[in-house]
Amino acid sequence: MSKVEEWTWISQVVMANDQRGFARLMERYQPSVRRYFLLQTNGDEAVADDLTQETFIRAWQGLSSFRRLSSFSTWLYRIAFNAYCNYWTRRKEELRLDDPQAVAVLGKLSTQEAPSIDPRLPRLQKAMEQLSPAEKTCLTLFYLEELSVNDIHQVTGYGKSTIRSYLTRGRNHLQTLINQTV
Amino acid sequence: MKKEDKQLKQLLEAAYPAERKPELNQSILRNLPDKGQKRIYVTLLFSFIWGTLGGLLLVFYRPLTEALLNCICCLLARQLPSTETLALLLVSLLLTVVGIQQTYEIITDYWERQSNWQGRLKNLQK
Repeated sequence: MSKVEEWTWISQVVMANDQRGFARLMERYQPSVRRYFLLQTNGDEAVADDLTQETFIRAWQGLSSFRRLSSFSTWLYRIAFNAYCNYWTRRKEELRLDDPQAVAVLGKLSTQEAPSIDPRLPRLQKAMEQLSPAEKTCLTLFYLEELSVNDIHQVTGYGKSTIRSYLTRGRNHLQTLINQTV
Repeated sequence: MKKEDKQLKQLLEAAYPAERKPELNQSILRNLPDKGQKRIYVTLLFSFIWGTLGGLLLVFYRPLTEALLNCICCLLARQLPSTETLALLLVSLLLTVVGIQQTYEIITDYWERQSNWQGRLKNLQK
């Protein structure tokens, strides 16, 4: 889907509340938004589906307020990030986002096994589970969704240097665990 | 992107493939809340009816026209019109003004949104 096409669908949704246009936008972004939640919830598909649904419903309700100050994907990830933060607050009201104890609590959820036979992948998934939600968010948005540090700053509200440090820390941690198997 | 970063990206993509789930899309579409489009149409219809009714009353309803003229004459003669005349005029005027104002607001709001988005689209296509 090109940028012009994307904007055509967005404008149709804004002007005429066109559900077909919104369906096209969902087709484009649902896999990556769902993957973001899957990563954050350590593979809990039911929660990831619920959060994906919540994200798109909020996007539908708020699309007329989208002012093109950022790209549509950045705006959507901001909603997804907030949805995840709310979920996190609901689950663990007392724990802070970067608290490793909280990760330990939520890390007990089932992990999706990778379909590939690459022996590094299960290790990588285990390593991802050990990261803090903030590190995971930064790594996911940077590597999988290809957002720049500036975009991640817009999505999460973290400082740019904090994001860089989360990326470095997360990357080093993952590299160490991956290299252990080589 | 550095070589190590590329490698990590590839591994992450392999470990977490972005799978499309059409049934989830269907479920979301089913659960999309009504954005009040129907409410807008109903308001528009009512404002139109009220506006037209008020306007027609003012123009064609003889007692009302007389009341209006009477009121103007009274004001010119610096006298107070009767309560009945004033009440009749006020109700009619209120209906007309509210109806026209609501209709105008809804139409301008829709027009603004549409022209705003069309402008953005044109800019993007350039």
